Amino acid sequence: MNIALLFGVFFVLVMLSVPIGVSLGVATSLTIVLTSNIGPIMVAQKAFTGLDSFTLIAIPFFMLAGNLMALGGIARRIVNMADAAVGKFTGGLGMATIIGCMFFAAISGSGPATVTAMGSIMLPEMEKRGYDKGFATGLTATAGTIGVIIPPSIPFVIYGVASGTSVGDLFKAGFIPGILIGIALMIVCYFISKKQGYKGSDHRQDGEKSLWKTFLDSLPALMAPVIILGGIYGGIFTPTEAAVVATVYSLIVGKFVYHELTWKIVLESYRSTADMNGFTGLALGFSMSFAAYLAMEQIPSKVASVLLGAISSEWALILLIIVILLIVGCFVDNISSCLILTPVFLPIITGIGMSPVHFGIMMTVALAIGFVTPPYGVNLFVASAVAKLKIEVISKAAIPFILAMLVCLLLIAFIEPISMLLVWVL
Amino acid sequence: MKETLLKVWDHLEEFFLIPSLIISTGLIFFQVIMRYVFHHSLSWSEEVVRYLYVWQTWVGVSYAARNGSHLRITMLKDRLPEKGQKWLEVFVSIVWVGFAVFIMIQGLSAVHAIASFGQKSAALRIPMQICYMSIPVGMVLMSIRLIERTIKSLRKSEGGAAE
Repeated sequence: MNIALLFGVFFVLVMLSVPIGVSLGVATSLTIVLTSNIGPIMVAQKAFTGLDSFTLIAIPFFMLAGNLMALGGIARRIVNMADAAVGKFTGGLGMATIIGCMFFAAISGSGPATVTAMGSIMLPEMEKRGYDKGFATGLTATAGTIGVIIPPSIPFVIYGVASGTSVGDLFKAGFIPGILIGIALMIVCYFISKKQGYKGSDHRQDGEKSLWKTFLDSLPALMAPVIILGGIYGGIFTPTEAAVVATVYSLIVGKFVYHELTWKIVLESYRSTADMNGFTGLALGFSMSFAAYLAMEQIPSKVASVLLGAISSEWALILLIIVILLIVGCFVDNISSCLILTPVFLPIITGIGMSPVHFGIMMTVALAIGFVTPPYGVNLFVASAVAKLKIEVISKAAIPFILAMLVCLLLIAFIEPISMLLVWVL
Repeated sequence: MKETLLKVWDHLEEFFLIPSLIISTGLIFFQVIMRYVFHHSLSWSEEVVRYLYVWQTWVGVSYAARNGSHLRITMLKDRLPEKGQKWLEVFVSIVWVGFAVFIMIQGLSAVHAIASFGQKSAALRIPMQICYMSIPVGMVLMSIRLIERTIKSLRKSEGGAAE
């Protein structure tokens, strides 16, 4: 009864376009007031204590660092280097875009930010060299999902806090899956380019002839992922500290090495970070209240025991969860769906002996596919804004890339070492 | 004078959010430098940044309401005719403000309870009610921003109909 009320109110409000955080809060408060003797003060308290976490502070700073790197010339240098390395092969510009996304992903923790950074540079270039605009945009939108899979990653931070898993471990586990998806997308890009006749070219974007000069110019940009990931993997700093170090590093490089950052851009980046912090905060805060109520009523373990009793095969259970995640990902943004579904699924997956770290990677990849599936896909939205192309056109062109990602998702879900290897050895 | 005040009001949240984010950046960076260069771990910086973050979030909630950037699923809303969208927006604002007022009241009773326990933060001994105040303050600010926005959009659509 209370489960029906809780999820019913939430679902109706969300569909009526009430903000996710408010819908969660209203559903939790109503259910508590009507069906339990828990004091409603708990809703406000959990929303406060849930946000009182040093780990969560990584989110605004990874956002900020990504912004500064995109606007301060670091993204541009990464692309130059990727272009110099693979530009001459068939489909080379497309592959350079994917490699650029992988590198940028190792700096930024956001999918849409990766699409904006790479798309605004690479889309005009690919168009200039005769790539179909829809193909180029679909490729960039899909490759942008790697932004949340190769660490650092904002969804990993959120999953880590929601599930009580070490964010450092998640950051280790996401690395190989991200590379795997990048390679899969490059293979698809190669075959489509071959068919369409997108040839490589020796003409390089930075106009440099010597590979060495391009390398030197992009070295400060290429150092950014080394500092961030090296620092986290080496235990030198926590994810939050890494995010701040990345912010300061990108500020210094963008301002004093590349001379592309103005104080106006810096201020604007701070402003959009403050805004982003507000809208994620509302969803984060009240999903903490929601999750706390679920736990008090032991709803997740009840759901788990029903499901575990009904479905005996582990494979079938994991497949069912994947299908649910993919469907939810089409309609709901990944922060909200991660927050709502993590407490529900966690007892099920621990019940079948899957590691919460492994599950976090699987969940993030599944929800990342939701970035490029309509009607609600953040990467589609920003790609459409950058390319000035209709969402339908982009999502259609993205289909072969999405299929490649689905294959990777299944591999990641069923072959544990792909994600867990680095956690075991590092 | 009135114009300046209006301008200040329009950017009110920024006066707190941007300087405090800059302070947080500096403090965490300073903490890393102190630990790795001077082998001295600060005990207080993390706590300051954490409570600043809580305040940044609840004030940011109001700022995001002012900018209209909260996470919403507008799939069904987008299919409604213009008039329907307008009334749905009014409905959403009513639910939203009603919830904000409810949380403000719950937040204030939490502040009251914490104050009577005399709970203080671990490192700096800050009275915890100062941190908890972020929720009621954020909710009041957000409600004002929402009412402001709703009135503005209603006026705009009325003006549009009169033309």
